[in-house]
Amino acid sequence: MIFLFIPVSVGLMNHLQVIADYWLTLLVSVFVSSLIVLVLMSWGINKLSKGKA
Amino acid sequence: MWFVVTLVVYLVARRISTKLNFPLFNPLLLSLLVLIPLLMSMEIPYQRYFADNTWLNWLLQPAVVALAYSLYQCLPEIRRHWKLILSMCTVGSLLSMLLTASFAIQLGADSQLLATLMGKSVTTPIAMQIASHLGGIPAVAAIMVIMVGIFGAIIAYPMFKLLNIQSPLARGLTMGCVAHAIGTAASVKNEPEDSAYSSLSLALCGIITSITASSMMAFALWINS
Repeated sequence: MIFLFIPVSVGLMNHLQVIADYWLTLLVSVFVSSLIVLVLMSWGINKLSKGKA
Repeated sequence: MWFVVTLVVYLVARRISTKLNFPLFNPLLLSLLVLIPLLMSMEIPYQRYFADNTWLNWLLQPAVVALAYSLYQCLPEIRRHWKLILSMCTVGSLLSMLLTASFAIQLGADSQLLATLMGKSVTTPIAMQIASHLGGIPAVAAIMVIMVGIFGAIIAYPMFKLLNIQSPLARGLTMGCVAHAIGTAASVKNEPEDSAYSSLSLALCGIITSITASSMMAFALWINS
């Protein structure tokens, strides 16, 4: 089903300037926050589900 | 015509991805790397490309509904852990929005860009609606959602291995919350047992984010002011 997203993503072409102006803000805020949530959430649920089992 | 090009490019990219079996050779990423330069070099406007692919976009809704099958298979386990699932999806969604907004504000994002980023961890149609309602740019929100999905699909399983995360519940819920449908697709490929929780998390986080995004944006602006 992944390819179903492609038509939407090509909308990037219409806003290339915004992406170019804020590329660092976009990359850091999006990727760093995702990484932190990934680590904290997986570790937290792993601990809690072990405790419950 | 562009529908056929999209389909052919995706099928070739999927074949390359299967043969090389390396996370960075994601079929979606490969397709984008071919399609975007192709459209730009031929000066094809997005509207024309999208018009040719409209019915592919319509198929997104039944495709999301199809994720319910794996949920049905894990119903007893979901019933047993419903409190943990609901609370962790809520915490994950709120934390994701707060951290994204805080980093963006500290790095100089304006309110339009902030509104664009609030839904970056939920599936594309919801993220575009959130961006639109908050005054952001839906098309940029869509590309951020896809980038986050690819990022999650690439790094999540090596990270789970590093952190010794063995619970399918932990892996699945995290994938759905962080990397939405692309993460769920990665779960199906890597650990099929995780995919039911990932589908559930994808749906729950979508609902939680759409309800709380405007309040979280205001809260993030307040604590960073």
